[in-house]
Amino acid sequence: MNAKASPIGKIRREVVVIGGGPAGLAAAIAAREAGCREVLLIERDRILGGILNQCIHDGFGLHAFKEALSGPEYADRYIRRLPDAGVEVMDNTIVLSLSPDRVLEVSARGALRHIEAGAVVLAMGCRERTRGAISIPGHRPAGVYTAGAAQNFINLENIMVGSRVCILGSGDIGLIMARRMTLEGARVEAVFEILPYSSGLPRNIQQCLNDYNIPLFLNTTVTDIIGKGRLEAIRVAQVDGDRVPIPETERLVPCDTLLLSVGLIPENELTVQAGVAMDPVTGGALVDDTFMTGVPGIFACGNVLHVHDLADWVSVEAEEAGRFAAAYVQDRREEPRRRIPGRAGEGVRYVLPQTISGERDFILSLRVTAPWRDRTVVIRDGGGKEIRRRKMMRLHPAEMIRIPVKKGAGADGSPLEVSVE
Amino acid sequence: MRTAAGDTFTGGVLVNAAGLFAADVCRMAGITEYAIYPCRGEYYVLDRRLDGTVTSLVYPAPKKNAPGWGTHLTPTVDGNILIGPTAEYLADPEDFACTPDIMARLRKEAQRLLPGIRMSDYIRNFAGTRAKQTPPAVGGNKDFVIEDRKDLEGFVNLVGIESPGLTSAPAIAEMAVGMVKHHLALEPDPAFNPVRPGSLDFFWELSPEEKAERIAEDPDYGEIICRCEKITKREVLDAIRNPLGARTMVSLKYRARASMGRCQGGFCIPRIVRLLRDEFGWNPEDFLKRGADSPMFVGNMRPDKGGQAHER
Repeated sequence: MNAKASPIGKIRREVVVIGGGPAGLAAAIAAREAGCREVLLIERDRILGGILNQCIHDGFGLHAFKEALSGPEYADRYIRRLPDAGVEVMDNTIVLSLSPDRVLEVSARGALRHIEAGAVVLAMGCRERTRGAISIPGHRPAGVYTAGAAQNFINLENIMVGSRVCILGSGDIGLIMARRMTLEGARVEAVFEILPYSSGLPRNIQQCLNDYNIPLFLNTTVTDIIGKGRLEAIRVAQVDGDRVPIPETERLVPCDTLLLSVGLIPENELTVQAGVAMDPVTGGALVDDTFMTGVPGIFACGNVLHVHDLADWVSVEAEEAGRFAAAYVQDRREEPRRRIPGRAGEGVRYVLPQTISGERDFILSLRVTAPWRDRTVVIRDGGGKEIRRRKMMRLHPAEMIRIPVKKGAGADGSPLEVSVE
Repeated sequence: MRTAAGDTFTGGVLVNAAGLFAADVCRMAGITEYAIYPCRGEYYVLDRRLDGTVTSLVYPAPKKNAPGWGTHLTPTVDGNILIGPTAEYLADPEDFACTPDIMARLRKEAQRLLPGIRMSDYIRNFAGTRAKQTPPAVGGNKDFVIEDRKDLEGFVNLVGIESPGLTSAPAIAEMAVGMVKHHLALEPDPAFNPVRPGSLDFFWELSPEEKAERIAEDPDYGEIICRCEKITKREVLDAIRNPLGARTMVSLKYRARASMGRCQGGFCIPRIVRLLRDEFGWNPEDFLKRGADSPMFVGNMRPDKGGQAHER
């Protein structure tokens, strides 16, 4: 080492929260308010708030604050509580690695640190699925963006990405961007969705597409991307029941921009590195009813755990996770005596948490596999005994369902199964 | 020699290394015995999650007279596995599109060679074109043409440098230099500096002590621009500031590896755009993806007041 070299800084904190978006903010404040003295929040960007900063549309906070806020306003409700709460913040800082014994290698401008954490809350959020991951054929011109990247350019960088726009995928970011591009003077030709139903929230279909006469074509996908320099056109085709394009339905749509809103993927590289067991359906960690993963002292919440429909539910979940992380370091956390698995039955894509103790009330989160009307979500124990049921007029895969379950569920230790009947 | 841009060059030696267009250049010089048959190969790039699952190239047994070696797995030094290439004769040497039937076939063959690949492991497709000398009806391969034309003084001709042309390029270059020497007296340039600024290794590969040392040396090593590949601001700046001066998104991807990973630039391209704007004061219209005809943006949304709009 030369004379200028600084040694690796080593510090210790009770609770370290990775990610300063809606999940991380809520988890850090909750952990501090639960009595933890040292709560450190690590954010890789220059400002806290995560993806909320580029979500300048409203609709955030309807559940958490009973009012409609923009993304930055929603983030601000939490950010301004940080100083009073006494949360320590490291921004412009990235976690390079996380070990199973909760040592973080952390890089910032001018400093590399090793941080020993009493507990870690994973709140890294998610990333967008790309063109490569869905294998769209064709050329590779400029003008093909994920919807969130386009949103970043437009809302944060004052940069317009295109003028004649097609959108593949009816995820919420794609719908929001259809409206945003229209308001900024672009011509949005259409939104194409490979599924027979929209994957965005109904309110966004109405407020972002119908209100602006933007057509939504279901059972339709992009089959070719044309343009050697900048995008010139796409081909789209209807798909059959196996989602295979039907050649005779193929048509050309001239456009200079294609936005992809084809799904979100929890960003779990650190989680896997720490040896945490994962759920192949959610793409997030397997957790118990305290949001603790299979690695003691490592907790997960928000979109890194499972992709949420609303930021409000991210905050609610993260507050819980933050409290349990605090309890873990304060040694007040009771180890669950029994681990009862929760299972997704007929009509249910996943349930979370994946294991419960039966010793505390908890919220069961789930998503259904298809849209239905007038069905009942039923939770049964292994013996078939009904624990909870909720009649629902409308069920949709785009909407997360949250059902409170009282302690004592699965008292016989048998797995709980959730199904749509 | 006249170029399309209207420039005229004269010199003692002309090296024809025009790849897919080498036969066209030959014809301009009156050499008619060569023809190039463009043959496209498509590839898939796999996520680094699968790094280490294969430790050497994995080939199927080659088929007789096939134009290529067949779909194989190539583990790269960067940790991605490549699947491909296919072989398909085309009329347009610059059609680098990937096509649905071939993509489906590659996925199927890859699954056979490496079971357990998930759909999410496919992060990118690309295609390139071989400069083959054998027409489709003949198939197979022909040896490289590396010749000092006896009938045309000073014409060093490199034709049909198909696979393994890239691997052979340094050796071909030495042969070509030998040929040039027959016509010109070559002397070493004392001003030539073979040392390039920047580091040969990636920041993420270093030990924690070495990382700390680099960050102490230049704080830009502490700032990660590309989170998937863990490429630092300093490494991106090195690519921008090196003598070749990477300016486009694709050249920065190739030089610095930023945006090469699983998010395909979703997170780092906005950061790279900011970096280039800070470095050169560019307007949105100045940003290119690959070449002059690939503008990324149409302009500012509102008149640019000069500040950074995203700062709160």
